[in-house]
Amino acid sequence: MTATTVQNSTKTNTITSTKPQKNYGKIVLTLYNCLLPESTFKETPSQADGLDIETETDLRILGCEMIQTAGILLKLPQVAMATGQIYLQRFYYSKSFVRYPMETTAMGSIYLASKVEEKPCRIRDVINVFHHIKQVRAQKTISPLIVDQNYIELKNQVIKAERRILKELGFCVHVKHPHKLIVVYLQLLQYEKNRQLMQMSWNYMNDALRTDVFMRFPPETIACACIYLTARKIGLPLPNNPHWFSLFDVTEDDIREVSLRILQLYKRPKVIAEDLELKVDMLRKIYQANKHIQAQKDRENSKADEKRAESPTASTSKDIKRDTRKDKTPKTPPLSSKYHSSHKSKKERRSRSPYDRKREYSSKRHKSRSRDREMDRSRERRVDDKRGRITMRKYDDYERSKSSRDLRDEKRKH
Amino acid sequence: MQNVNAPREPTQQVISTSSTILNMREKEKYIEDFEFPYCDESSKYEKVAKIGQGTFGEVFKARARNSNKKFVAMKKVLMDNEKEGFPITALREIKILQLLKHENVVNLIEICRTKATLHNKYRSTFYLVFDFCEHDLAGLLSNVNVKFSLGEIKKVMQQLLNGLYYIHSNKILHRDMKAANVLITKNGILKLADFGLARAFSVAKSGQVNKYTNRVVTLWYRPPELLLGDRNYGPPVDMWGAGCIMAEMWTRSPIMQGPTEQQQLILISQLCGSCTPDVWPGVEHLDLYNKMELPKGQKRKVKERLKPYVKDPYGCDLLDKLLQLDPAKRYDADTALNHDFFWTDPMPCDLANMLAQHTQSMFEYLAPPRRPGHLRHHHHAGAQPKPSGALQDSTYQDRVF
Repeated sequence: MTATTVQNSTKTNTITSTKPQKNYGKIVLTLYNCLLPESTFKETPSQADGLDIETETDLRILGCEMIQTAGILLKLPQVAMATGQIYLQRFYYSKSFVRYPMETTAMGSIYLASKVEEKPCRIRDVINVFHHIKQVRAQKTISPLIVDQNYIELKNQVIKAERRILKELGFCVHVKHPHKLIVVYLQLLQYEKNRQLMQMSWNYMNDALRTDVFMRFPPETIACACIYLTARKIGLPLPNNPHWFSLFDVTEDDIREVSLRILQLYKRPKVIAEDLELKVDMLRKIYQANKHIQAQKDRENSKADEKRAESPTASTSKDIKRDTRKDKTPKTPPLSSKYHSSHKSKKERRSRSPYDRKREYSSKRHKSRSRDREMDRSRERRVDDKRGRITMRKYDDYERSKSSRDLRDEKRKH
Repeated sequence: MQNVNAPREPTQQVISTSSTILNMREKEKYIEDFEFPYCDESSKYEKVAKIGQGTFGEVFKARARNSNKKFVAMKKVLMDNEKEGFPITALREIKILQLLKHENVVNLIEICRTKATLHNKYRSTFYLVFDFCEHDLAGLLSNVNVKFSLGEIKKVMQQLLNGLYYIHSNKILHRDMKAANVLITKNGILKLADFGLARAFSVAKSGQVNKYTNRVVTLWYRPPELLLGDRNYGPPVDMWGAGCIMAEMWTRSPIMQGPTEQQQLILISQLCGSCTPDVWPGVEHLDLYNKMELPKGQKRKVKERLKPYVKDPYGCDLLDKLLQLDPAKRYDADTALNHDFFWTDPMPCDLANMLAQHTQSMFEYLAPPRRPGHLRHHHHAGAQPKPSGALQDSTYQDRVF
């Protein structure tokens, strides 16, 4: 519960509106509450379910990419894609990738965003477009989606995902995008005619949607960072005495932080969707197995309860639960139990959604090919990741030193 | 194993004795216990009475369970069109109401949901929760015991125009102005309500014409440009409604009660004169100008016909300015607020004293039918369908925020 309550309190704190806010429930409806506290990023719900941070980041990037591509294919305005990506990002700071499949949420996000941004599209189109994207990604021959029971189920899943997003975001569907701010700022700096500057800043901004900066910084800062990055890239000196961004109440530290986060994005290795799916599937099985075991234990407990309830000295069911909780293995149960229970849980999942079934199907196929090879590959990848991260850090240092050097040069120039 | 007890999951666990249906039960319980920290359950309010009904759904008066004095109005989000997910009209209403915070606009407190249970097939219902207002203007006007003095009428109109000025300056069109959608608290504060048809608008730039649906606004309050098929309209559509409501303050019933679009146009022409390019340049370009039967040679008799009711000359003049056929000539909210009507004696005076005499809530929905022979003009009364579906086929290109 901690993450939520903290999040909630900052929500109330970050209100910048001057009007008095009435607060009856714990929910404050305002258009200014979109930043999350640091603690939320440290322990995300997905991480609590055992997903490592790199995979989570990759999943976010993949989800955002899919929304972006889908939006282009659906001929939606960019603002709808931006809004959709932010819904997806926000949603997974309060729910886990393990429990809610990313693709369904991505579909729900873009669908909801299309409505919020007054360019409604049909669920059917959203599903078709996602189907298409997946085929292209897997380099399969393109075949149309068959309208069958699976399709209907999937459609229901999307509707449910949409509703879940609404509930999870407390209906705060409005997103303040920095696009407009970039235009205004560049007008103020009298660079509105510089198409390259404008376009590249926008590009940086649209890419930034894949990072967490929109959850961390106000749009003003992001707008400044995008202009800052672009100015640097094309070697355009901007006023620095006083610094141009001080005009917009933004500090250089924040700008650098945002810029670094955006630049890190370009250093990441390409996301391999199948690997991510495998990882999530594995954790989902563990999660479901756990749930199953827990339910079984509860069943036993409740039986025990009934028995104990007859004797007057019986402890309460809560005590029992606390006891059982203690001897649970943390995070990952032994492998044997994982595989043992996975096929059990499969049966109950089969009835739930065809979408899941499809994923399962693909993962099963992989497994039958060679589970060991898969494992090796993922291990290899993990090493790669590590390597990647190290080089990234190096790059960061380089960036930092370079940027400070640039700054010095700039100062000298002026 | 931690996973099961992860932070936001329900800690209450399944207790079931029957083992055969346990899997299903588990799942159900899981769904039922699901928590959404930003979306409270509707059970925190207790329904007291139904106070409204229409195509938009039902409206209830409810009491907050944690304090007996706090009343709210709960508007149910109608989810009949499940196929397209959460209704875009409700999304618009929520988004707009979150943006609009003003003394003369109804205040949205929060959005609530019911628990997903077996009974509702795991689809929860949503409610928009508003501050409760004791009366609506239609209800007050239909009660002969409620008498408005000139100063009080001025106050009502001033607040109404203030609210309109606020929403228009925020680039929002109300699109359903009518007496039943004007709420008044027992303290005499007026609130514009029901933004179910509202939308954001943009000022049309040259070369880019807005294409909004013209099947909006309750027929009796619908301005001539909408009746003639205009799809590039703006704030004046609300100002026409304001004019109709203003006249109603004296006449006590809607001034033009046409049963069909055609009839409504004829009634308008009989009051405001014929729609000709002379008085309304550009009217000939409207889609339905040649398709509708338009009375010719009618003279404008707004002042003449309303004078017996509205004895105040300034009032008559303002009405004349609000009920202009040409939307370009119609007063906007700002100009109307500067009209002498509001700045001459008797000055606008508070409504609280007058309303203190009436202890019972007055809503149009609860009022006895006031015009025998006429359909009570609820949304569902046939004559004016609220085309929520039709909204979706207009093209949306503009945005405000």
